[in-house]
Amino acid sequence: MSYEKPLPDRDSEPHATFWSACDEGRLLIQSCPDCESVQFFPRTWCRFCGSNRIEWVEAEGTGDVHTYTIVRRATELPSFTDEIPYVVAYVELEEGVRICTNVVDCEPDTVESGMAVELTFDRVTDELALPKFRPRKATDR
Amino acid sequence: MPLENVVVAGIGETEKSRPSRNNDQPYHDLEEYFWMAADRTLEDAGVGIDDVDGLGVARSSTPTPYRYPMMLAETLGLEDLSWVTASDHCGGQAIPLVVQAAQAVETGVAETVLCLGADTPKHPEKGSGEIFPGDPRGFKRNYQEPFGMQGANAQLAMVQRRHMDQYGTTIEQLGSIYVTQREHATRNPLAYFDEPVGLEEYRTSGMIADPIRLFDCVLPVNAGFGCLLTTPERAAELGVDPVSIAGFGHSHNPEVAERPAFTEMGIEAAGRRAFEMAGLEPDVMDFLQIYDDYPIVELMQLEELGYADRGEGGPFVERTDLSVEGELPLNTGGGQLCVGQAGVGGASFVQLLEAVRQLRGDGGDRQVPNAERGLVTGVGGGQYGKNLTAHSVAILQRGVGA
Repeated sequence: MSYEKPLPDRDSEPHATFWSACDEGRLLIQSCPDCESVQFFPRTWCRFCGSNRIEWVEAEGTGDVHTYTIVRRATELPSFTDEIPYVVAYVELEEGVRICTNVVDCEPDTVESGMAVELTFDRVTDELALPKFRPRKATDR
Repeated sequence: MPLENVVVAGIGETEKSRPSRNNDQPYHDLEEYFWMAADRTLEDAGVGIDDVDGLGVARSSTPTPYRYPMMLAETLGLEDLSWVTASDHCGGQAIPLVVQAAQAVETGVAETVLCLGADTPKHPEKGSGEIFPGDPRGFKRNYQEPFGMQGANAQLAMVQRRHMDQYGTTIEQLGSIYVTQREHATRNPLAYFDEPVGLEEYRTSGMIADPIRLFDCVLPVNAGFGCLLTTPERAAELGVDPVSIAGFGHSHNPEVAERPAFTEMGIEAAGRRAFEMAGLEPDVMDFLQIYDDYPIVELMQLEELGYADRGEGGPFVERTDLSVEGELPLNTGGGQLCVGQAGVGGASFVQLLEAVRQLRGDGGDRQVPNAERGLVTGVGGGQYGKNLTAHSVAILQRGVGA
């Protein structure tokens, strides 16, 4: 069965680099050698100082849930109806950026703000793996 | 004040419609709504179409081609315009559009400017029919939608979750805003909802994106709106009740921080600019018409405008009578939650036109007694990092500006 959900642009930069890395199991954010800022979502320049020397760095893959919602109705993206209920969250990474993602591998009702999470990849097509997060085991903290 | 040579001289607002396969509510296309809105606005001001020499058009969410304002001018029959503009501020639209038009009149570029906003999110054959054009390249397509981010409902749900977790804001506090506005809508013949609801009905309305419920979500309707600006001299010739713009302020894309606060908006900065321009303090407003896509967005604006301390919006709405008869009348016509919001093209016109009505004394059985000045806000556009990006505040007052 073909994948009916929205696909990112994997043909043009900077998105192609980001999603290719996900395909290889790496979550990339960006860091600026000129002003030492980190940024997400990706751009081909540093939006803090304008430098075009922005570099990709691999995120550690740990963080905590800043805020979240449990989607109960697919009001704008009907292709997600089969996932309901599911959690969309902003996870704050150790590196200091917040990213939009899903919290998976747990009951949606057990998710809470501040919850420690770790990176896991969800391979949804041959070419696309989505960076998602799951509860971090207590021993890992 | 900067806008002393311009006044609002006419307004127009159509009935609201939510046509579907299951009802016989009327369907009109976008251009018909623009025409109806223009017709009512010109009639309200008592001017003919040939008197209009400027046009402002709010960009709709219903897809339109490039150069649309010019096409619309021909469709409506507006000739030899000395000034045409558009706004593209999503939910915030009406205020930046009307302020642009006011500046054109103030500077003499045009004498009589017609501002229009309309949208048709509901279609009788196309199911729910909500039309929001896709994002071909940006963060929404690439870094939000692959994760099933369900637009503003999901985004504002995360904002509300954060406000509840951080400050202890309750569903009942948010519901009190909605219940008050539903009662106001019963007194507004142009509102879609005409029956009041209680807190229990609000609380048990279906969960959409937890903690956002059905009655938290703005009500999509098809409708058109218009607002005519002209000089005080022309308004006097027309014999209309003028309303002036005492101050305005914007803050667009207020923050791009690494760790932006989900519970902070740009209304604080926009409001500060508007209050400074008007030389007025928040406590002299006779009513507030606060942009309402969700009650949580209203509550945060009450904090940012200085009516409540940061994080104290919940207790504030609990102890404050926000009804027409109360100490701080809020969204006296029902707001967009209960009147309806016409996509983004008609967004925040509900707030703006209700303020004009109140200041002209045309509020009927929802008239705020002796209303001399009031505050209007418009907010829109989803950010990646926290909540909304377009923020506008206008302070309107009865009569010609001094």
